[in-house]
Amino acid sequence: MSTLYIKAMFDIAAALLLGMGALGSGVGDGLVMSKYVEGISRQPEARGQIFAGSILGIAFVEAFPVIAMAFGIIILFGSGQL
Amino acid sequence: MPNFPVLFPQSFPVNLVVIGTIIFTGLVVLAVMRIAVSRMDMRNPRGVQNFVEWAIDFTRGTARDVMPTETAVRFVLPLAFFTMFFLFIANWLGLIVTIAVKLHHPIPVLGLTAAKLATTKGAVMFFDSPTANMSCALGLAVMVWLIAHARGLRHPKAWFRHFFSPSPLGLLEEITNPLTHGMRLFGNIFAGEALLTVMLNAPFAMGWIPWTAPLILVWLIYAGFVATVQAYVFTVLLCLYIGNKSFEGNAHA
Repeated sequence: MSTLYIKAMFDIAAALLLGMGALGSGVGDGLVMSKYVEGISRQPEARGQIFAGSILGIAFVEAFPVIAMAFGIIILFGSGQL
Repeated sequence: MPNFPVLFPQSFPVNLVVIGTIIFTGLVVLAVMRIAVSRMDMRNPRGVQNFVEWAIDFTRGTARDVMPTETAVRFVLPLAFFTMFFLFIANWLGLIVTIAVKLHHPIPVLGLTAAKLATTKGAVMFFDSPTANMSCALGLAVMVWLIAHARGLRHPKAWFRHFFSPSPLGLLEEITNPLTHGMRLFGNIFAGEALLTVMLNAPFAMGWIPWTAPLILVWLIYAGFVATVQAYVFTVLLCLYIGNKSFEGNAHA
């Protein structure tokens, strides 16, 4: 009973980790992309520079859910041991 | 979690596969650079030389964007360029090929005990991305941190003052910067490969439909994009952190 309970807790922890990370990064990605579109509609000639900046911003935003996913996989398949 | 052959599993675990792939990646970088240099032609450049010259120019451009002085750019350029090149190849290694060997007998000397082998059904990794290992990625980040402080210590007064210049909260950055710097690289590369492994080991629907195949294709494209971008992001942050601690010239430049 108790080992099953602990395993279920690990599963819930991984699910919460992934879900919250995806939620936050979804909002963050949306903000970055909306500002990117806004920027190129205002200054179409600066498209290249803005694109490079927005890709960098997305890489920063995406990093945290992906880190969360790495730890989620570690939690799920390593049953809690790092 | 994949199993790796490990030296000294009890006292000081040393991952042999990561060391091997680091050396392999280094050799690949050396070979590419050797080819690029051997056919060097100043009058009509072509082939690898064009690519390497473009890559160096690109690195210099990114370094100039985030660093305060031209001296600092010249200091960091060789390190930044080779870090980017090394990480690019290292990140792609695990997407191009991973080799896992199935062991039937445990080898306790290499840390492959029966209990550990049981968790992966006897599979042992023999070739993988070196950056999909937390110690490797954090080691790179700590190296950058040490170089930044060594460069900052050329001007000890300014170096000492910069800890407290806006507020002592800046001291917190000394821990969080290298931690996120390394974790970002490790998390991206490890998650890409771990999810690929999970999808490859998923059972077929009704015994014969490979329903994960389209997912694997999409994830491979995304992981390739991430592998490229993370090499670039690591380099940008390297330039930023070393530039933050370069105190020669104007501090407000």
